[in-house]
Amino acid sequence: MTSAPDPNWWDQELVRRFQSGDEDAFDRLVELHRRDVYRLAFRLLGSHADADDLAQEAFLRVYRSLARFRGDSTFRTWVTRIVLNLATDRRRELAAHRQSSLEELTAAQHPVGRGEPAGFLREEVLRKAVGRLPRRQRETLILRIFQQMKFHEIATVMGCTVGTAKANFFHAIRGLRQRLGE
Amino acid sequence: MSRRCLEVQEEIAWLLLEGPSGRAGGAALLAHLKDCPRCALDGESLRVLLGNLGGRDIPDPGETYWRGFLPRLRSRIAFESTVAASRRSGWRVRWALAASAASFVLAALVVSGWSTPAEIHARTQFQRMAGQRIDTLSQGSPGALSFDAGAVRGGVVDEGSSADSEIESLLEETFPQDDSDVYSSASELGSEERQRLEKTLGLDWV
Repeated sequence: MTSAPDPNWWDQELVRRFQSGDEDAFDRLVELHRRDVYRLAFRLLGSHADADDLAQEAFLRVYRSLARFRGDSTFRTWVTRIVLNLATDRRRELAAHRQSSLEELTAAQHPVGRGEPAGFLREEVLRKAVGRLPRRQRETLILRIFQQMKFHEIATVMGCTVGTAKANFFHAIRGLRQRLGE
Repeated sequence: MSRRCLEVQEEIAWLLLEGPSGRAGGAALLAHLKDCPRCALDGESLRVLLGNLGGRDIPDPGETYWRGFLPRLRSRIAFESTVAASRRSGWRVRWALAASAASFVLAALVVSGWSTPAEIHARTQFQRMAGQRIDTLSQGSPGALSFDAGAVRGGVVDEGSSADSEIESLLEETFPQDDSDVYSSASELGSEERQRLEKTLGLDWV
């Protein structure tokens, strides 16, 4: 019986090859992780343009730093942390430009209730509710629910204990339920 | 809401997230849900919420986007490398210019005799002092100095003349060393000063 190859092992191997001078290994890493990175970026920022920009920037940073990557964490965890940091910066910029206020204003002028499918409405409400959670709760929720990461991985990414990651997650769930009025 | 109900809320979340194999999922929890309609309702709403969150997928940008993702990334990397290389070469040009300027200054110093600041200062002092003396001598104030250029030119000064001895002492003060020093010092004077000195003293320095 053959066991499924460990994706972390393959990541490590590609990192090792890149560090030995094989540029193609970087391309393979991008191909393996680009969808996860894009999805995470989309969920954190909420638009294709921002997600695309962030995903490109994240892999650019990976390229710059990969030669020094020592493998203390898995490649996936490392990339996720880069995405979270970039997304935090991006959200800060957006907040500074009052982008969210503009979005709210636009939403108020064009209510989605009439003529919109119920699913879309629910998606919108959920998206906004998740977006209004405190940062660490939001990130924990997204990593757990959408990226299917285990709590010990989330703890590594967030730089906290597993207990804190779990607490953040449950606070996020509680906050969501309150915001959604149960 | 009992204490058990609060505990159950967390356990329900675990049950929904991790499945029955997680830390929750015990028979006690299921029994509580059966007996407590509030917790059952709570558990159901949580299940719906997590289901909605989990089922909420993002729109896929399409194959064209994914095909272009890596080439775009590669061109950004290439662009960054070019910018970094031009920055490095920019520094190289700056260093080369600085080195050329330094070499030029060094060569100029060597050609001009490589005087240290102390030497330049001493020379300037000497020239100023000599200039002052020449001015004094050439003014020829009859009361103070009855100057006989002819006597000086001939190298003969009447011993009995106080003016002449004054000139001599002034000359000695100005050029205190032996004649060779005087000649070499005088050769360092500016041409105008030298002409004035020659004219005044009637001497050929060269």
